[in-house]
Amino acid sequence: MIENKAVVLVVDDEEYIRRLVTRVLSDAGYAMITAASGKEALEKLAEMPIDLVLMDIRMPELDGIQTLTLLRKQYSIPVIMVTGLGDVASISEALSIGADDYVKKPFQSRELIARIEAKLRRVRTITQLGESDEES
Amino acid sequence: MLRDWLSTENRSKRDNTVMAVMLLAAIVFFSSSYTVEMIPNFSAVESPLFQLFHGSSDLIALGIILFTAHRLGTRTGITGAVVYLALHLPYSFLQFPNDMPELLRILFTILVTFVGIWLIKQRDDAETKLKLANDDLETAQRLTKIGNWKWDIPSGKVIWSKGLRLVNGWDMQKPPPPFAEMSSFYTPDSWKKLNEAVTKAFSTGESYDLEVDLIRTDGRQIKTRTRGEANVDSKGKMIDLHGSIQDITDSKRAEEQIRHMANMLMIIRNINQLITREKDSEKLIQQCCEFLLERQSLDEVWILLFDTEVNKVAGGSNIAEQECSAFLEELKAGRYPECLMQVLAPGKRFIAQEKPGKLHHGCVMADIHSSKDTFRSKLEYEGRIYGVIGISGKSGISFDAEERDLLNELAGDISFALENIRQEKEREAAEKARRISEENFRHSVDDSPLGIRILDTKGETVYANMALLEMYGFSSFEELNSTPSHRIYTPNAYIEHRKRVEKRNRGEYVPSRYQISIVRRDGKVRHLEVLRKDVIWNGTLQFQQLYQDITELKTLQEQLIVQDRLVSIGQLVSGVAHELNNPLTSVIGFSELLLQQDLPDGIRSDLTIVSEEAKRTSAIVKNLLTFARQQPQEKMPIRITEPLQTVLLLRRHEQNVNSVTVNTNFDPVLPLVMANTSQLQQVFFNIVTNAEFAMTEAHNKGRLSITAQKSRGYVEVAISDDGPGITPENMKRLFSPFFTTKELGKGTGLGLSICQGIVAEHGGRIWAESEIGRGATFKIELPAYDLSQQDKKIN
Repeated sequence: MIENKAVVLVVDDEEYIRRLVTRVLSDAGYAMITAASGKEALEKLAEMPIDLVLMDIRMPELDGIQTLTLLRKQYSIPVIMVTGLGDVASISEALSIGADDYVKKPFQSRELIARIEAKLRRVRTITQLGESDEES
Repeated sequence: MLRDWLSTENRSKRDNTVMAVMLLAAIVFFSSSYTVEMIPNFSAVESPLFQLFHGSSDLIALGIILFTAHRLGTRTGITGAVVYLALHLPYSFLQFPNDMPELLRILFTILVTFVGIWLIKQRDDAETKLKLANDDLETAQRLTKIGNWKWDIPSGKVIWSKGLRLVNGWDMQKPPPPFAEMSSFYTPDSWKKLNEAVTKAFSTGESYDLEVDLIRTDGRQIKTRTRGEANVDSKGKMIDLHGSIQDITDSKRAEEQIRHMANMLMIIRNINQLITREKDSEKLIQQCCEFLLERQSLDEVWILLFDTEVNKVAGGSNIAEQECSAFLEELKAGRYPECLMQVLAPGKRFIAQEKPGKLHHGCVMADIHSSKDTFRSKLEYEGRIYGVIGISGKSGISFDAEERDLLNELAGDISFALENIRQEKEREAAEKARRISEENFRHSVDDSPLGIRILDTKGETVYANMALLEMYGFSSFEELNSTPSHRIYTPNAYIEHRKRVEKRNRGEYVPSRYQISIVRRDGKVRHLEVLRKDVIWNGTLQFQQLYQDITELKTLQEQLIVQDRLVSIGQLVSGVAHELNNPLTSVIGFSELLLQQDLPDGIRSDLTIVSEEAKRTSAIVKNLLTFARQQPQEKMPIRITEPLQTVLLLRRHEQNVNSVTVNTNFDPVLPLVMANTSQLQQVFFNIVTNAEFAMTEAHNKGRLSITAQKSRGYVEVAISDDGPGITPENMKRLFSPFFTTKELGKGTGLGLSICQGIVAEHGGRIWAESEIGRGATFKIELPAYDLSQQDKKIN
């Protein structure tokens, strides 16, 4: 959380996609971090607290699945995979490794925001429960 | 002694003596006669004695002369007569003609003398002749070893000729014994025989002619031929028995020898006949031995053949069976006797020995063989030794030069036969090998699954195997040869064929591996791969072509190429689609963002179009991805109108723009179909867009009619347009991959082939009906889904 806004990391090798998502989600009230590759995503995750990751499956070098695998070793934050139209197999794989949800490109903004919200809400609930536990 | 002196043998000496005596006597007479007259007072008349003596002096002289001639020979007589005359005649002539009676008397005396002498001479000659004849007879008898005898019955006297005494050894002087005492001269059997014959002769007068064994006085036994003949008087009483006995030992031996030779020749003839027909070497030698032992001409025969494994032996004995068998066993076992070893020595070919004693030293058959003539020969032909033959002669018969030559010839003939047998075996083996080789050839070439064809330098087919004829659909080699090339090749293949031939003729390079297409007699087209190479066939340079039918392979290849291309295209499309995804997302995304802002209407409407079109693009890309996807997807019971309507919705905008109107007529009570929604969408999408294209291309507008109805267990969808229709040629190739009537770049040509694939996979049919100028109708038929089937599945 930054300034009470949830921090979302968007990982995609395409600049315009990053820009679009950043724009859409900023308008919706999220703090946006971008990473252009799986490697950069892991660095960013190490540098700062992030609440949710939005990651493209298809990326050069370290692809979405591989990054997810590495990510999941350290973080349990919600990850939503972004896929092209035909990636059924990859979606199943991602979900089994530990992705929380997926969304297809091209996406509806509303749909995207709704999914993100749903995931964050869940996390908030869990954290709050945890904090209350700690406090008490 | 006097007798000796008088005998004819001492004649000449005698003659001389007598002549002297005669002369003396004559002188005495002459002188006595006249001396007496000179005696004075002697008167011839007074003494009667003297008168007698004087008167008869001539007679006396004559008598003496005659006596001399008779007793002592003609010559002496004549000499005496001449002397007397010589002394007497002149005196008488002197007294002539006074004493005529005296002269006459003398002449008369002379005449009588000479006549007497002549008579005596005759008798002498006769005696001489007789003597000579006798001598000749004796000689003849001696030489022929024959003697004759005569038994005078009345007197019982037996006469034996000199010759006979020579035959039986009886003393020349002693008189022959009577017949009854002759038994010691004969062997018991012979005596019996003779007795019988003689008795018979006595009783019946029958002659006999026998061969009997006679024992000479010196103990030697000889074979004789005795003949007896009876002389019978007019009353039938036997006067005498006469006959001859001949020593035939020699001739008997000679006879045996000749018979033996005749036998040998017969044997050899038999063997020669055998040789021409016997093909088995073991049988050959057995038969040879049997032949040789036949007729008792030889005592032992054996033949040994050397063999790599076990020696072959054959043989036998006419007199010592057991010993011979033992001997043969030794030979078989490889224990060879001395005689065999000697004959095998290099340079030697045969051994022929009379009474070979030492040669058989140490051999099982030593005792038996030592006493006979031995013949051993190598059985050899042109340097190759097959074995050895051993022959032991019959006791009593020796191998003379002629017989030895015969035996050598025999050995040679047997060797020749063995050689022939060996060569025949070799020939058979070669023949067998050749046959096997030919079968190998037949199996590998004749029966080969590859077509094999040999052509000569002129291009004529010299040989074609079964597989080739089958490939071409010919039932015989002649058919192949009599069908011209242009009737075998497909037109294109024929052109290529001619090009190849021309190139070859010009000496240019032509690949050795190429493909041809032929039309079989039954009309089917086959593709063949040909591999051509040089070959030496029947001794000359020719060309071998191997053929393999690759028709299925080719089809498969073509299919694979198509598949491959499809896959590549699929992959390409997939790749492209994914590539497109991101830019599309951007366009859609940013235009959405823009639309969220406050915009003037004009800009908003334009922007909306941008957004919509981007979305449509996305839908197309999705379609493409569906096409590219390989795996069959799940089917579900759906209403066929759903994907139809989705497509129509999708196409609505475009159709508006292009003035294409659509009317639908869907049966409200349609059965479901077991199908994959998106795939059906693909199919309908394709057909509809094709129809739109055809209509707008033809006349910039169009009318689309879509119906869906049930028919006999199927659901049928028909999509009709009012485009120009489909030509018959195009109808044939409508559903072929890559077939398109659109310009280059305007269509992949895959659409309908994919549709057919999808529909086929759903168990349905897709087809087109069209007439030029009256549009086209595409129909899709899918089996209706029966709810009861579901129940069945569960149960």
